[in-house]
Amino acid sequence: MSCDPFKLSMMAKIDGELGRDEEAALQAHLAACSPCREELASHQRIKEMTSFLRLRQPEDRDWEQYWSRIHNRLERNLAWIFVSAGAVLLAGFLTFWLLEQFVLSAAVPWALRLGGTLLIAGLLLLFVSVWRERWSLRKTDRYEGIIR
Amino acid sequence: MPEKEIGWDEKGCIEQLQKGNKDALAPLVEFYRKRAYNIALGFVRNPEDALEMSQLAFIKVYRSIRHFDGQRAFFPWFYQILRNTCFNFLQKKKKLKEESLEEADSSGSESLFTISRTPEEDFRIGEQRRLLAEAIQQLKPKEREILLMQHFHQMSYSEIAESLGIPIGTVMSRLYQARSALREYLERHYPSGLKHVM
Repeated sequence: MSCDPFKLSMMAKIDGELGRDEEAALQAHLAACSPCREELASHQRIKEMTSFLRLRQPEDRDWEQYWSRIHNRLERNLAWIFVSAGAVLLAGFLTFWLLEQFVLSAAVPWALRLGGTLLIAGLLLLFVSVWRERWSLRKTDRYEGIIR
Repeated sequence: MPEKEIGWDEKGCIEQLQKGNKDALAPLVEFYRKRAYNIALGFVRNPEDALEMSQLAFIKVYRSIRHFDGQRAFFPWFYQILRNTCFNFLQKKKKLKEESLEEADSSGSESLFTISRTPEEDFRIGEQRRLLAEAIQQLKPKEREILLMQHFHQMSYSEIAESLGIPIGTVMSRLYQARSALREYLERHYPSGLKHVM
């Protein structure tokens, strides 16, 4: 009988995830197949060995500050929302004011009006471009399948 | 999966969070922070970055908890958020490196493990552990991820399957491939075979 179907059962056996029926089938196969017995034993040894390894841990003070860092960031996010909303409102008002007082006013020299128009158009274009890039990244940023 | 502590009510915390109670995040963080850090470390390989990514994942949990289906297990959902956060970070880091024409991936050479031995254990054991740590780091990313999930994050097959969106059969076959690769690596470096290891 082929050993292949039992390779996966070996994994489940090592990890304590093998059902009673599969266990009986695996034991029957192992009784007759010494290469599989050896393979199972070596996989078990590897699992035992890994239990002695420890993942690198941060300093104790990092754990002490862990929650406060999350809390502070959550608070700051709210602050950033207020700042951004305020900035957008002010920028809108300023643009309107510049248009009214400066660009559309016949009393202002044409070179100054042209400069002001280009500046406002450039800033608007930059804003739209950055916003569109961020939006498309947000929509298309699929992490699945990324291999390092 | 670690034992649930007395008084710990995950479902209750999640319900409170979904109602907008920010304080309910604290016990969730307290319970999962070490696991979150260890998982992130497996991806980013650097303790500082792993702390940062795990904290960021909790912030994302807070922001998107209203989309979480309370009938499902929380941890696989959280794992996906954390994993995506780490992938996103690595992608940005890689892009930055490419832009600065830096070829060496410094994070790739950092060790995931601290290798220690007690005074009673001989030098040979320390060497074997170092070799095993090296072997784990040589695994393909998919194999390393699943091995870390099972061996170091104590996740069950069903949790792994749900977290990665794969069938349990695939979990087992990936684990088999990972362990076989480790076995081959160790046998190559210990010509006398694994029987003499440990």
